[in-house]
Amino acid sequence: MRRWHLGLNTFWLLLGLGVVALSLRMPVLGPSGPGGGFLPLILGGLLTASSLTLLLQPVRTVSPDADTEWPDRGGLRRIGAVVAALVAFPILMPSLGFLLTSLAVMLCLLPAIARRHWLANVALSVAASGGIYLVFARLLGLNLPRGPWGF
Amino acid sequence: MGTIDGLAQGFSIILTWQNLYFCLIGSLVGTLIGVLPGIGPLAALSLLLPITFQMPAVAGIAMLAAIFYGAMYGGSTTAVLINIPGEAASVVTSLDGYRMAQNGRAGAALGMAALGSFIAGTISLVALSFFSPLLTSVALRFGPAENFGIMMLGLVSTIFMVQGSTVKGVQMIALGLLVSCIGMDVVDGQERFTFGSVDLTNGFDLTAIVIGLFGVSEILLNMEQVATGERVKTSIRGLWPTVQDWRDSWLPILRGTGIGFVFGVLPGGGPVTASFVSYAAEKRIARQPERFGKGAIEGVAGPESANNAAVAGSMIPLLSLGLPSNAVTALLLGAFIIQGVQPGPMMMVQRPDLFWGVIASMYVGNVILLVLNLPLVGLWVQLLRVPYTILFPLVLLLSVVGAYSVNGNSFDIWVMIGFGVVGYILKKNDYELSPFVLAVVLGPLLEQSLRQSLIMSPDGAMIFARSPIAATALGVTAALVGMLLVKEHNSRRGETLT
Repeated sequence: MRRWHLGLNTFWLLLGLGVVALSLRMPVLGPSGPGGGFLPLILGGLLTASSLTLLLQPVRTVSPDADTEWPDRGGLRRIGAVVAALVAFPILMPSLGFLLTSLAVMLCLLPAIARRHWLANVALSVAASGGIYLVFARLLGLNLPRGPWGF
Repeated sequence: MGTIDGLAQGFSIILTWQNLYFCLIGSLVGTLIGVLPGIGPLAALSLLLPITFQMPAVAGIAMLAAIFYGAMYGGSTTAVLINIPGEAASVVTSLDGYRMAQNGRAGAALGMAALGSFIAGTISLVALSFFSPLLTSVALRFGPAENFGIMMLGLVSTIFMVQGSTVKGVQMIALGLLVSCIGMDVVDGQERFTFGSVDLTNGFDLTAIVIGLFGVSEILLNMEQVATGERVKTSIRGLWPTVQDWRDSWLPILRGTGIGFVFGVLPGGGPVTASFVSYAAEKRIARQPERFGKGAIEGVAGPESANNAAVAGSMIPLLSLGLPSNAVTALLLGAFIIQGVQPGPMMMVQRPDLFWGVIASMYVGNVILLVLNLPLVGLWVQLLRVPYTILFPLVLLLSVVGAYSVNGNSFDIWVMIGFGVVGYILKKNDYELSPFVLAVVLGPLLEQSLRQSLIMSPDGAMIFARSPIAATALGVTAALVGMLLVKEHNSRRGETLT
């Protein structure tokens, strides 16, 4: 937690300073009242000050409890797999369409999450992607991206 | 239009097959997500928001509201039967509810939770029906200075209500407001923090942010450990409480209703806080406080009534002032805006059908939940046996569909992924996300009110001192900030000493 505490607050501090610098390039106070930089300037200052407060407090008060519990290697692998699966959607969906993308993503993702018979994973992938497509694109008429074959 | 006439109009709108159907769907989905741990009302609301785009406004909002209060009913089932609260507002229910189940009284606990929720929901809806128009008539006279004062009070109260560090709460509010500044400036149309990106011209989409923070980050948290389905061994008999149960519970139900309603109306409050306060109050009032934690029915009746009353309470600032008091009502505000309606004092005048239709739908939804919930307890329990590894593909695909379909744009999926990962890291480091969401929603309104007030004021910030409402709200805000700083200082001193 201490390392993360320092890391996060350093990031907020830099972000706050960046916001202050960018806000000063916008009109802050004009003759007709506050401009577009007024609120961001205050917020950047607030973020900087609050991060400094947390960074400067004595280290021993940072973590009254034990360190943040991060998942084990298996957990991290599953989390990585889910994020990778999500990233695949905006990349593949415009060309393959929603149905094919979701089917392909599920077929790759499910074996990485839980050990099941491969047929069960295929069935779940088809049911989940097909079911969602049917309900949202066909029944509710949402405009989901279509692939080269029109679905 | 008077309250009785308004309600009559509301019922005439909601009692059509189509609207009843959506109210029923909302109640069922709400109960379902209340039962299932790992997906809360916020995630469910954001995932299902896109469905409502195609629906008439009354049906869409009635369905979303039903998910909110349906989750309060459903959350108690798992809390009582397997000691796992389905959502945060049922955490305290498990303290005594689960012990009752262990003592063979699961039926009475579930029955009292449902009946208490129904009674509290109905009483607070009556209060909502009469109180909302009154507040609306006052709010019609609000200008930008008053709005700014009340919104500041709302934002600071969120930090006061949530657990954890005050400074982290301030950081979350500052970050939320900064996110809302991205894109076109609300007052003069100038682009801010867009770095030349066309996708950022309208800022980040609220739905994508919320699905990321509450949907995707929950999936990531659940991926840490892949659990198998829970087996429920408790047998459920006799859902109707005994005469003695009623004798013990009627006062806690009424007190829970009062506490829940007040904490729902209060900015930053909501069902979670209300249920905790009600439990603490019952324990303090009880003649034998040592019975609490060992299966006291008052410990189920009070908090379950309070969390349902808080839902009706929190609809008051949303419908009358257009100001959400917690993250769920913030999302409901988003749903109204997507439907082209700005909630607030003018809504009752311009769209009485929507205003009264939503209120009437909540009366109907409460009846539906009572009638459906108790006989279906067995079915809900069966659902708990479905392992998360089977549920999560659906949640994941719903997240993608939800984020994409708001604007039909892949960029929103990137936003969702980004906020999902950030939300996961923040939750792991004990940051509360509700102040952030509230700040994102209120940001544009807050900035507009602040700048308009200062532009129209001849003597700068004195405009806030001249308005009694703004001055009071900002005075209370300042007092709260002072109290928070003292609390933070004391807790740090305590930690240094230990």
